[in-house]
Amino acid sequence: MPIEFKRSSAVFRDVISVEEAEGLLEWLQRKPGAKVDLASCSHLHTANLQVLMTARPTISGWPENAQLRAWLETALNPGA
Amino acid sequence: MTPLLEQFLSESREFSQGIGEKLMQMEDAPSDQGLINELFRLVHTLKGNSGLFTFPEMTRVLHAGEDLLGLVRNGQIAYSRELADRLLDAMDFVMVLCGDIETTERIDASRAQDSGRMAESLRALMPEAQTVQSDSATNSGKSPKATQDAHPAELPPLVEVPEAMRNEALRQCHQGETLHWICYTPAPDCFFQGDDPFFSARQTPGLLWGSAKPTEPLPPLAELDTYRCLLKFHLLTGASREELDEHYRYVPDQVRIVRVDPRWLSLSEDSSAESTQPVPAIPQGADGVANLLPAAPLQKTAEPSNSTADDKAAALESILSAQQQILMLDDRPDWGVGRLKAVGSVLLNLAKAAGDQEAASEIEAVLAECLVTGQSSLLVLWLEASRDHLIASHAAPPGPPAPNPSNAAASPSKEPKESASETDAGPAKPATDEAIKFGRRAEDNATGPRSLKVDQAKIDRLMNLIGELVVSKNALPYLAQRAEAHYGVRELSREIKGEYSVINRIADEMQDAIMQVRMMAVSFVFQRFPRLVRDISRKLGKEVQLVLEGEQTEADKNIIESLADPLIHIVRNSLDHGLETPEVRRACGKPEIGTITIRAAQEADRVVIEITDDGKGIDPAIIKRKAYEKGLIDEAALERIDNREAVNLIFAAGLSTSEVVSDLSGRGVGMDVVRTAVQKINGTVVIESVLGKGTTIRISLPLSMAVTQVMIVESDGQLFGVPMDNVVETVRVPRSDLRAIKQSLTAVLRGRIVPLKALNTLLGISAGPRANSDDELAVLLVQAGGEVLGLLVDGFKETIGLIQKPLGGFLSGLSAYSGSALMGDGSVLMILNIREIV
Repeated sequence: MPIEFKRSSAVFRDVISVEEAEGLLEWLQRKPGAKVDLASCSHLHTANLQVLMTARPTISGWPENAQLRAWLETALNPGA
Repeated sequence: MTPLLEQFLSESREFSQGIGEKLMQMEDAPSDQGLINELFRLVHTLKGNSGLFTFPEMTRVLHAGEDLLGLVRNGQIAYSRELADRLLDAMDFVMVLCGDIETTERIDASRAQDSGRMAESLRALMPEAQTVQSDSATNSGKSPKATQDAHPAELPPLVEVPEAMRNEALRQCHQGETLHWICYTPAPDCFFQGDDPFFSARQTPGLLWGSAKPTEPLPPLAELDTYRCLLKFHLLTGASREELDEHYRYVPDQVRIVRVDPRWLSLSEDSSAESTQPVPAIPQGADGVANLLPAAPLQKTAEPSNSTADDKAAALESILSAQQQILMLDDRPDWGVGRLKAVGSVLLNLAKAAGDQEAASEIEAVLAECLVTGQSSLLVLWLEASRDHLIASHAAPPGPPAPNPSNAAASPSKEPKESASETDAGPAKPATDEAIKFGRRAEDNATGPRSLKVDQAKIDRLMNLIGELVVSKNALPYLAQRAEAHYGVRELSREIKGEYSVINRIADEMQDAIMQVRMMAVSFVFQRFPRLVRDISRKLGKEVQLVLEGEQTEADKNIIESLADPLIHIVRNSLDHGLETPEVRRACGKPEIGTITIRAAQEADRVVIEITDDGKGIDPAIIKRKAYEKGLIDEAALERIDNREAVNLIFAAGLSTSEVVSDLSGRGVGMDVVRTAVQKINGTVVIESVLGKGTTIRISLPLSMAVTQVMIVESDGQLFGVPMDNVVETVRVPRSDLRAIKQSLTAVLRGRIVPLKALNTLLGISAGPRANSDDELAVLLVQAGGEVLGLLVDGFKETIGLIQKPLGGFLSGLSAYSGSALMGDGSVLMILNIREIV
């Protein structure tokens, strides 16, 4: 499983495919205030991205991949 | 180029032409339902074919054409001249693409735009409601007018780009790099097509900066539809237009690519700082300034042609007052220098655009002074003073055109085309008349088809003629001989030989060329096997893997065609009798999935095809018993024949090893038919089988049936031909080296004992073999049925290519000869059938 769901946080690893989006959405709907760790994520499908953009979970770890990090920071932190 | 692609190209040409013809016929009979159905079918097939390859440009146009014709077919829109024109244009475009594919095997990405335009012009003929549902793509459904209207609002919001990145981009621009702004709005249902727009965006070549934004306000989390794409992407890249077109070639209707004008970067440098970080202290006017700055000059680019002198004056007024307001701002002293520079460049450009050199130099001077002092007051004063002058100079007819193209935007341009093409390079370009007219090549540059369809009879005639040429050319050496021997003219003889070698070479090449025409790859036959094997194995409940090798091996068309039926028989047999069911295989310790390998290869001038299965093999004992039961062999043979021969008995007529006759095989005709078919084309078929391990059937066929290479040997004063396929080597053996073992003669050649037979004896000629002056005998080593044997002859002559004619009439009963041929001197050469005589 590229997304590992823990009690209050989800850990993304490697490439997150479109199939994960549904599960991620349900999990985030169940757990408002959950954290998401993207540190070892190298890419996530657009569907997952829009789930994150809608849910706005706390990001406990930003991707190590600098390019992805830049993308996600603008997408998930528009205020900053 | 793959054969599939070649076929696609020739078919596409045919179809495009057919479509053109049908369209012409429609002009005379616009309501003919049959015609329109046919037309629809052609376009539909062509579209389907193009989809097999990665030619989205072609598919897109054809898809639009198909939709359009679908509506015509259903009577929802009527056939019109215009419709035919556009479809014809589309077909011309397809032809152009075919030309591209033919030369480069791909379609250049730059065609994507043309393709989008073409599709749009077709869709423009559809009623609005249809376009939306018939096309999933977002933009192409819009009428050209709508996109045009929407355009000015779609200017790149460079304000989004962080300032550091913007400065970097500006720096690159000044270094002569071209930047592009991309707005990529994926289709909402793109996830279902396997797209990952975020990935595409991240992979954009030369990406400098990018952001993902929702296309509409995001719904609450509970109502989010995961599978609908709600995002769009804004990207800033340093890649060239071509690279970008290539990258987005599948979704050209979803991206808008705009070349970034460096001025946008520098202008928004001022405004964005204010608008992205709204400081409460900024006076009311500043917000207005921020909005006005990018908008004012750009609006002009969009509609310069219809702006009257009054409009221009008003726009200038607003620009100038904006500059004044900027200069008055004193909220952030540290920005003062930047503002000064920005205002300075705006004024400078205005002056240049008006052709007012005097004002320009004044501005430069004042600006320099301001920068030194850090005070904007001087510029404010100048602006106050020269304001009216500037406006007046603009109202006058413009001076010489501004040399710098970037000025065009700020000028009251008389060349709307220039400025329009600069900002609006996106695929959503309105379909103007010039745009659709492109590519109509029918009259100027007809790209004819590169392949010809020729009746086979014509090729056969050529083949016969070249055969006769080969034979008559062979008469020349005899003529040379006669010239020397009979007339004693040695010089002439040499010259004739010289000429002969030239004619010989040309004739050989010609023969080769004609053979090439008739050559076909065995893939023609092989391609039907995957399906056949799949269907049969399903039916039999067996798991089979088919391996095809050497599909490019070529042979004469007749040979390939006559190969089809035997091969099908063999493969069916292998599937039915050879391979076991998965359970049996597992029990035998074999992999559950059986393998059938069909391998083709060229060996010298023959094509060898091997069909190998790893099934249960053939039990020679069963074959022998069956053959005996059916009366195919007698009791003596039953004892005598070895396993190898026994296995080959399955080629005998009327033998079936299977206990059950199924609809697939087992009727005992299969292998017999195989052998007959193979022999008919001068081929041989042998079978090797290891019980429990599998069976290999090996078919050997001549590459071509036309010309046979034979070696001429002499025996008892007569000439005979031996097919080169049989000849292994020619040696001369001293009589003293011959050994007699019992009745037969042998010799040791290359460390091997070779049995020797005199050709004379085999043919029933009483004379013995003649030795040469050194008492050596001529031995022709031949290969027959896998064995090597020496034929004692009197002498060797040359090898020649000839057209073998089968023996006719009552001579056909002579199995010692496979045929006869006419020699150059008019004599008849008998070709020995080695296999039969030894």
